[in-house]
Amino acid sequence: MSPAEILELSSAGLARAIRANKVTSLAAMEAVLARADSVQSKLNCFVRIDREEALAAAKLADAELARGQVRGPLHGVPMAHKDMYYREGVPSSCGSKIKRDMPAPSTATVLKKLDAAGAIQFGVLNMAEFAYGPTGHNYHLGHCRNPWNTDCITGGSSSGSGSAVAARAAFAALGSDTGGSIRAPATFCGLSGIKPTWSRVSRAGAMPLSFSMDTVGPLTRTVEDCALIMGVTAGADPLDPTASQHPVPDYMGQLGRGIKGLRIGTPKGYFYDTMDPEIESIIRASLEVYAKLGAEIVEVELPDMEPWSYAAVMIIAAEAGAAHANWMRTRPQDYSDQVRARIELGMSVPATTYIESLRLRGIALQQFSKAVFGKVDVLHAPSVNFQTPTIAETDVGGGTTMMSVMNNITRLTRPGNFLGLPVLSVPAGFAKNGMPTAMQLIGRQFDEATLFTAGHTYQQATDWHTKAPKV
Amino acid sequence: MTKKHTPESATALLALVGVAVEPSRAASVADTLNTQVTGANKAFAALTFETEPATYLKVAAEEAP
Repeated sequence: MSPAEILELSSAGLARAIRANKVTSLAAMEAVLARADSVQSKLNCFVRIDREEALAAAKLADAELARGQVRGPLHGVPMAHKDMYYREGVPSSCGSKIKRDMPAPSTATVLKKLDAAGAIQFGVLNMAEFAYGPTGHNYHLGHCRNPWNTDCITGGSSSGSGSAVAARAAFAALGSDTGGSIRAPATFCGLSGIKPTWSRVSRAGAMPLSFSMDTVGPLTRTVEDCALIMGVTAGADPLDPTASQHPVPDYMGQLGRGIKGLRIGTPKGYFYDTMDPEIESIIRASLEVYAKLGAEIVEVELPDMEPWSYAAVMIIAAEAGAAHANWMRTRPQDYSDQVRARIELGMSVPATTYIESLRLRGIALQQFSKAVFGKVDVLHAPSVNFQTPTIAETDVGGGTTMMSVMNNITRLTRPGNFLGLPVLSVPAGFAKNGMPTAMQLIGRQFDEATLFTAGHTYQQATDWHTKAPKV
Repeated sequence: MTKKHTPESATALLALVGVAVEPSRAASVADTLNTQVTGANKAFAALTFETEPATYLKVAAEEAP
């Protein structure tokens, strides 16, 4: 297999090829390292590449396989991750100036699980400062760029994860999602991404932003890859008391179930309130694909979600404010203007407003579940309601328009975090300007399996996810 | 009637929690605070809350129809 052919493989495809001795882990690592070198100056997606360690790990993976030893379902697959998952003794910048030289006290559970499954981490990826920004701007590390058009935003906060995986400079990457930080870059970069049910994946050793909203998940080339990685990373963790004990199903085993008879909801209101017509036609077309595949399409009337949208902003702001309070007192000059302004808001949110926002969540989840899951199995919706903006258009710093610009970008993704539900982002087509866009599939709590089945079935019938940017 | 923050009051509020705001940024901080918190409180005004914060995580899938 040529390096170019290797780089077009999904994570699952590469893992199968390695196990079948069609390609070595070393060849895959050399290919991806060369690709990372060639795109880095254009995309600025990597913060660090651990070349020698990665090559040694790939050689070891090949030697183990030669002895008949397979670590797990990701044996020998090169990955890079958002620079907020800690490895003991190694600094994780978290996209910031403040943390870039602080060695991590322990290794993140999610990295330990990926290591145990055989994945090889070869680098760390750019991200919004402290994961607090939906565009991909970073004033400390330099802005990350979209491989489909380097003038455009990648989406954030998992900007490097979106950029590198789309550019074939990593086979998959962890992101994190507090208000849309996996789904925005997945949408703008043409990838699949899962924001799991809150508590589905351990957050031990992951940088906290908003403890009641943060989730950990992958950005990948295919939905199958999301299922594979979630199967490895989901589950209880004694190091994270919030990680759910709920059993982890066999996601990969359920991918082929098909969707005949699956009830897919299409929302009236909120998600389509203000919508770019071209993006809307792409999203509507993806729904038609589902109808042709045998799904039952049902229109769903949603509850009033506007208060939830405000409440989500208040919760994230207040929890982020608390997480950053000490550095805000001692090192305020080391934040960028935008993140500093957002944290100042959080530190000013009245406690009563924060608690009112939390109280709304139980009611909101009950209302949403009754309105949606009383009628359908999955809700289909756009991930964004606008064309991909440029980096310049969204370079609003910390000024007065900043919050409205940021809140608009995450308007359609934020409810998923507020409700704690699993949401899968799936590429659904391209605008005339060549930029990808995506649908969201929203499921019941802990029912990622149905989302994966629906997303995978769509990808078996379409080829949007196979398109690669020319960078 | 809602009383809005001024640059001075926003600066004083953040000073209470130990955060210094430069005078050049105070107007922007006050504006963000007014817009976001007032917006949230207006949105909540029409709602009746009947649950406590902890319940949101306990509304499990099996409770959904």
